[in-house]
Amino acid sequence: MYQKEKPLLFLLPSLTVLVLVVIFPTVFLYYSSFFRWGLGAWHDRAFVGLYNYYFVLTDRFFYNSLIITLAYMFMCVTLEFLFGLVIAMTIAKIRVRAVVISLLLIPMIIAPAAAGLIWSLMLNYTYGVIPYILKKLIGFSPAFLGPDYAFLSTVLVDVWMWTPFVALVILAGMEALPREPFEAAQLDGASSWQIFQHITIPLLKPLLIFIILLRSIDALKTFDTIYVLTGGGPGQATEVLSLRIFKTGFFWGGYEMGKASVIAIFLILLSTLLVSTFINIFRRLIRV
Amino acid sequence: MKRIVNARGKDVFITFVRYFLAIVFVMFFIFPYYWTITISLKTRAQALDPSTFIFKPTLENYIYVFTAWNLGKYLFNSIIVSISTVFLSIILSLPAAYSLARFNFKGKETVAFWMLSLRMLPAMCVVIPLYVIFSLVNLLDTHIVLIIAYLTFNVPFSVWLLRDFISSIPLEIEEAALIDGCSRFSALMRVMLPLLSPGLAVTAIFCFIQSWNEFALALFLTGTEAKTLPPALTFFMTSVGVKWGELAAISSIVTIPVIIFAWLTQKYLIRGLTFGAVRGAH
Amino acid sequence: MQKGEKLKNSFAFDKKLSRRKAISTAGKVAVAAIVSGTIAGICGYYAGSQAQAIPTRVVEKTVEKTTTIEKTTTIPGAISTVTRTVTSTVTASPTIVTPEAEWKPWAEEIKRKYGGTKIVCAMAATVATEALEKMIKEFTSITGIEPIFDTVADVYLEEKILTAPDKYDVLMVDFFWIPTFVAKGIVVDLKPWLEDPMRTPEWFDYEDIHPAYRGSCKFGDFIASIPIAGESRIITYRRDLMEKYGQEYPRNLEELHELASFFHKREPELYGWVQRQNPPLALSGFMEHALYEIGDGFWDPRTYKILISTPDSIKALEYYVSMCDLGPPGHEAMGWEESASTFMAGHAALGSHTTAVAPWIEDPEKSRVAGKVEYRPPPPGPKGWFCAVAGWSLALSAKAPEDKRAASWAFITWMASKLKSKEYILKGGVVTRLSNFEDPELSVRYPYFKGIKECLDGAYNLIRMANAGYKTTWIPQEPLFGDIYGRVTPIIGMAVAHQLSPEEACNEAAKEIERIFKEAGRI
Repeated sequence: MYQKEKPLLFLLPSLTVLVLVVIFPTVFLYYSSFFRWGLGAWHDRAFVGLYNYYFVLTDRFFYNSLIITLAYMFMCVTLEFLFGLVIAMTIAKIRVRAVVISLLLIPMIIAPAAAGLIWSLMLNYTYGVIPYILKKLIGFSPAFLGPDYAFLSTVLVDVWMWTPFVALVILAGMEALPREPFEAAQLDGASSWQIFQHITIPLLKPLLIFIILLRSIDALKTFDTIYVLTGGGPGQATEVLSLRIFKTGFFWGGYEMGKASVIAIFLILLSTLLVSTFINIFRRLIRV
Repeated sequence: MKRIVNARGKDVFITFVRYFLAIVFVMFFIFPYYWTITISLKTRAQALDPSTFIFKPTLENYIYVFTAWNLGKYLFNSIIVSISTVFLSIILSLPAAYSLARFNFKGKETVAFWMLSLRMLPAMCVVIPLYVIFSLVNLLDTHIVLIIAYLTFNVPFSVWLLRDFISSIPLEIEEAALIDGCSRFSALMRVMLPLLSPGLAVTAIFCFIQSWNEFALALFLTGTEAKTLPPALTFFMTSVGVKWGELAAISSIVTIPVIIFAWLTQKYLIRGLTFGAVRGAH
Repeated sequence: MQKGEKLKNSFAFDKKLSRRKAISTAGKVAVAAIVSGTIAGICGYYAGSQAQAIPTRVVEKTVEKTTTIEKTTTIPGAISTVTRTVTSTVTASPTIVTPEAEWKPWAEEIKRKYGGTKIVCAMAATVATEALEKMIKEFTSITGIEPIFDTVADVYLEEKILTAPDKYDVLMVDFFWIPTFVAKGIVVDLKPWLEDPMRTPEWFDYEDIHPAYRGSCKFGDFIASIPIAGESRIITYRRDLMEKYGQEYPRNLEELHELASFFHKREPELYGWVQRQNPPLALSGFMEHALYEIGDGFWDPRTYKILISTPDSIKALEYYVSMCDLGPPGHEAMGWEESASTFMAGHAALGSHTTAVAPWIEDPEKSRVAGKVEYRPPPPGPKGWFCAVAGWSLALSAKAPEDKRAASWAFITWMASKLKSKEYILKGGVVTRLSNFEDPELSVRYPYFKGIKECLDGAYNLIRMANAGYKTTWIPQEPLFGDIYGRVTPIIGMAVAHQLSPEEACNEAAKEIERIFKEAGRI
């Protein structure tokens, strides 16, 4: 019965759109990376071959952004994962859980740009409420958006925004787990901690890996919050790759869009690499 | 209630700790939002002074933002763009999700994986080519450009979500309709769609929220005509200094509709957030 | 965990969502949408009908006092000393006199020819724009021309103009962009317009605008725009602290540094030096304070030899970084407003500010140090006395349809003229004209005018040398300067944040400039 149908026909509308909106621009990105051109001056372009690639690969700022992006991703995902786990465990069994969960939705739903802005006011050394409280409580406060701590501040904002998401997903996963292993373990007299260690975590593993993958991909993409919070940071302290693309091509630069395209290509490659690695780990885990 | 009171001392303590921690967590996550609202109700001088906890609220920021900064237009743009792109995305993704869920063909997993991988496309990478292409056809700074640009992330996401929802509907219902003589397509419309409506709701809600909040593409692809709300935030980050009061007012305007929307539909939101994850992982 | 608990406590994660609930929720959402849509509609309507009326946030105070002022000014480094005695009596608000006879014939002619024209102006969100907006109504009533202001934040204006130059008739142009705009043919040469008495009435008086501003809006002989809001950098000193510790005002940059170090942390919450440094504009700070006065500048305009990595320029960057270090925590991220607020709250002994924020410092409602501040231009350095100059100007768009050009020029002429300048300043505009600087009434109301004028005289020094070919102007007249700025400013920012040493930073900057010139085929 199914063979008569044409599955491709169903797929066609969305595939066409995606090809136009995604494939075509990506190909264009590759194409434009071989030129020296500026914003609004595409007709003025000049072919430069691989020069842009040479430039980016020998640009210290590119490697700086690369390191910062990777560091950002690792820190954010680790912290969100740990805190998310803790929060999920904490609220798993309390009765007002529904209210708590609906309140915890808020950070994820706020526009990241708006969230970044309000954090930039809260952390501002002169006007902000957090340094003010710290100064009152312990006498001094670090300059959150200064060169030493700006990076940690961006991690803080990301953690604030997405930990509820991680917690929620872990909570859902916990609820979907089968009851029998837990009951069996309780009958055997295992303590809560042992149950947690040997039953909950292993059963949740696929979900946890999945959520780590999801967050990692999103962390690499981050632009809104960092742009609005530090604009790249004092010096280059918080310049992740997305921001580097922005600064190269869009801000004050005249003819650097070719180089921006190269950096964009590298960002896409990085994401692809990350996803494939994770999928491999995932598959290996499932088999075991 | 009786359970907690009568339990062993240890359990009461743990429960107390749980509640305490829960309150701490909630306060941590809610505080910045509370702060946004209070700043938007303060005067300029008060907004800059972190010590004013008790003050007389004033609506001057909101009024100023609407009259002097043409915010009504941006609000309108946001609404138009978000709703249109959600409609378009769902119409485009439904057939694809259906085919990925129901049919078996060579390369199905590859296609599915490819669509999922589109999620990792950063906005900044997509913006460069889109900017050039749209400037060549002179469509920059219109609603259309954003509606199309948002398809980049809405369609893969919708396909992924809808595919899961469709898979969860038992095959028998469809087979019954097919046996009764419906074509594939009309089976889809008459039988599936009603059953799928919660799933559609979830997808629509997510796409709406993502589109409403989207910042990078809107910032670069629009000027002043079709600008949506989130980039309008940046108008207040002048090089002289940031106008915090007005900014907080706009932030509230940007976020309050979404929050109300989310509160009304939270069951669907949570279902969507977790459904995809829990199922996708298994 | 008991068996029965699961179903009760499970939070709908696995429960099927019923259709009926879905419909009721949809109903709730629809109601909420309709209600909010109505509210939004009302707001939008209100916004539309109020589009031109900008609520003012300026508190106007009338000055009622009789004062006799005797001022002797000495301009350090100048060739001669200038003594000026000013006596003035002010009883009420300064008088704004615009005799009708002067402009009426002009206005009637314009109304006859161009009445009813709508011109679109791309403007930046500055205090000057707000002042101009207040003057629109009068302009429209006498000339029949309707200006429509499309205002955006200043950092986005350039991009906006570059992407759609044909949409706007009048452009508000930052001095920094003039080389790029001229090279791209975006602005019209105003020389023929200014020289034609039929187009430019006498009461406009181009020569009355301070030469430093005029020079910055030129590109060689090409007059790109008319300055409407100029600014310079002025050093503010806390007079009370200076007197308390018996300090003398510095005569050169070295002494300025010593003075700042003296005050740094001398009292709790007191820092030596505060200025704006926010990351995208880090290079401006360096240019303003050290690059030209201690260092050698960016490059030699005659030979394109890169001068930013000479030993003197490295010393300049070291000086600049050490001055920034004397600032409060978080100074690397401070913008104008924040650094001014820090000074106004009394946390800094010295500060460098744009002259545009001087009014705030003197406003007792905002500033705790109002009345205790001395305003002076930056002292000279070993290479000379060059102050900074920057600002906004109005230009005619070359890509816009030509028939609107005359109407647009009428707009620019009116708004930037000598005739309306006093009113413009009193409405919050920024001073640009010599006649305003020397106006006794305004000097009483704005005591920092004197300091500003001295800064501009210093700025003019550099322009004079540039015209003679010895140096680049403060903003080098090079179309690629925008690119250079964009590449060099993060490097300077890294030096200030101590992520690079001054020597490394200067060398990196030199490499970047060389690369940009090479890519463009300049060298």
